[in-house]
Amino acid sequence: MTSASGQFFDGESATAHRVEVALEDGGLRISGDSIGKSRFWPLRHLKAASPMGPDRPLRLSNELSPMERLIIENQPMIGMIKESAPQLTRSLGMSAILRFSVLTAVGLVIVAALGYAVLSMVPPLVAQIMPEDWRDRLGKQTEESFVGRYAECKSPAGLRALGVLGNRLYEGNADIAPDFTIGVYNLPVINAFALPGGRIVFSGKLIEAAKAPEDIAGVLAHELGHVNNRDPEAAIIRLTGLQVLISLATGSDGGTVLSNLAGLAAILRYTRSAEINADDYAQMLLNRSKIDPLGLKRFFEAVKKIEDQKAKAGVSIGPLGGLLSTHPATEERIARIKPLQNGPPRPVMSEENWQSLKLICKAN
Amino acid sequence: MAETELLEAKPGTKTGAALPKGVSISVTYVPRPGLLSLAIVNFLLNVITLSIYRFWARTKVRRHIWSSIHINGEPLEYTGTGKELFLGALIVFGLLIMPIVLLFVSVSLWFGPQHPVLGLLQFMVTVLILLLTGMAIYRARRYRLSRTLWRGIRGTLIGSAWSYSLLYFGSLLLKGLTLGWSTPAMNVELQKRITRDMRFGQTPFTFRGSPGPLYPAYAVGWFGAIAALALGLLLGGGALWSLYYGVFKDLFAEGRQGDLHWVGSLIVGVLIAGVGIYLIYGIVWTLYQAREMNAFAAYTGFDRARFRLNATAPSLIGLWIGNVLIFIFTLSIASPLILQRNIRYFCDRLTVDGMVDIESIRQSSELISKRGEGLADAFDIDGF
Repeated sequence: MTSASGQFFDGESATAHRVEVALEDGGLRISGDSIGKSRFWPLRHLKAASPMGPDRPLRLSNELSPMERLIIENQPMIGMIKESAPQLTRSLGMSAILRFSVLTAVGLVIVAALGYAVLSMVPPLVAQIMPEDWRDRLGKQTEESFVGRYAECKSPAGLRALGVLGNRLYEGNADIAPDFTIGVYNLPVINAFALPGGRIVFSGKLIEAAKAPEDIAGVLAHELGHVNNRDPEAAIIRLTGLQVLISLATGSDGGTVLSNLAGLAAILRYTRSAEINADDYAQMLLNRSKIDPLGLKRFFEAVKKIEDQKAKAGVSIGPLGGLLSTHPATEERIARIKPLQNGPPRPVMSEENWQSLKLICKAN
Repeated sequence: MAETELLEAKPGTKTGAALPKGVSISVTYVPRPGLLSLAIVNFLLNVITLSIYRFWARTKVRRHIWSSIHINGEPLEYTGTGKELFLGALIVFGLLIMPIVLLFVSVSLWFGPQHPVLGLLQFMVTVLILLLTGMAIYRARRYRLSRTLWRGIRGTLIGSAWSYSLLYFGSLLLKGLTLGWSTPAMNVELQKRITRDMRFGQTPFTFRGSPGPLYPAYAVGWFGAIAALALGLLLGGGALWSLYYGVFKDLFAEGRQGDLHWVGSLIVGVLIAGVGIYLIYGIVWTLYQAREMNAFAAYTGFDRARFRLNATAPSLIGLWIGNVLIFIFTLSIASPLILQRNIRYFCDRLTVDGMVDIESIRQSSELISKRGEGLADAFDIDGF
């Protein structure tokens, strides 16, 4: 049997045409009184217009004249057409599955690469081209929203000592060191961090924990490394982008989640290479100012000891925002700190100033 | 075909006019097996592709369900593709979502993360989204109609998505200003606009009717909702009051001796009360919903046929409860079954009175857009 009757829609009107369908020469010949010229649909261009099923009429379309439809109810004829045009019954071929998987994999890799680029490469670039007044404003806002609720330590003698420290580090490096300001806050953690716009924040506890002015000078020099590299700006830009994305995706306000100290510690957690860069920069500044870098080393060792003990005792250091969380004091970093290369160190400040600095949060 | 006898015009009758040609129309849903397995495969592929597959998944589900809707024995055909939906979504992402993200990032860097300007911006974006919602609805409807074929003829919407969008936005404002009381009038207006823009081939749909008959049901819904709300406030307030005086006072007085079981049962009580109020709220509004659906069908005509829908509140609630249960117990995997249930409900209860002259329906000459539903997908307008 090579022919059967069928119904034909010409795509011009909704009128159903009675037609004869014949299977011949690699195609279907469709003819009928009311359709004018007979049609020839090559088998390889046949498509199922509607999902097929057993005992259902076969509804065909043809890629060459996409609006025309042919409906065949004769099951033996349907069987023959299916046999002659295997693409109708082939569900997902292996090649289609393979192609789909490859496309998906490539797509996901592209999305991942884009995401990585956006989150890791774009923020540092934006940070570099950011105008100074943007950086200042951003730093001011960050300082206000993260540490503004804590008391600022500002005993006049302590501030004077802080000025001496800053000048001492700046004097040999006026040509290269970035502009910076220092603020000491009564934070509940031992930490120091750089904020956008060269704002460096020390916690009072860190100053109390220091054994010598060189320790503080070392930490300050390290933070200046971050300032010089604009790491804080990049981190804030990255965070803002993430928050907007999250709030868009969830429809919620993602803006207030991280406005506390632990949040800040999480934001200012830099990569290992950023930390090592800051260490190297610090060492260069200290060398040029003839400040003993071993102060920084000693300080890192002391911090590491405290944190190791805490870890051993099973005390969680997670939400504390402690020094370890933003400045992991690894053996590697401690080992990289070398003694002063060019001659004997000079003191950072007088003993009197040092005592005033230690009391910056206590005295008024 | 049996109907062809009806098509014979009888010329030369006494009035001199030809007897109108046409056939009666029946809409039936003839379910086909395989939807559940399709849903499961779609779910797995969605997981693997981090939901990118959803456009192709949606297309396959529509193909399946469309082909189960039979009009006079001939099924509908869905000709949309996953690629079209995907491109539509990509364009909306590039032209709408990305610029908004960049705007938010630069504004919050410029003014700071807690600046009131961000709130203003958030408000403006919300207004923008509301302004575009009508457009999303209209364009999605147009896309689906243009991809729906019956007897080789496709549907379309011929109007402007912009003007519908403005009407939609205006209706939202007015509904708010009138505390909801303009809802029936505005809904009729919106339905009228979109129905009169609808064509099958070149034959228009008609819409004629007033919101008047909807108001009794709306009043029941409105006052019922107020009563449910008042009851909720009363119960919730009472629960909080007794929680405070019954438990916290004891806690402070006796030093953490409070009976936690009592707190637990109180919370369960509040939850049950909440669900109860939600149900009352749902029931009173479903009454209106059924009324509105029936009225919209009755107001709609095509050629010389009119539609009649027999939606009732109990059956709608049954449909809705079934849908919720399916959604919960299959973790949304079987959502295509929910879509099928909704469409089937509609087909089963729809009657078409009068005749349609099918033979005279000509193909639509509207251009077909290459992309679909980007906005509707972005705003999550509906799950079709």
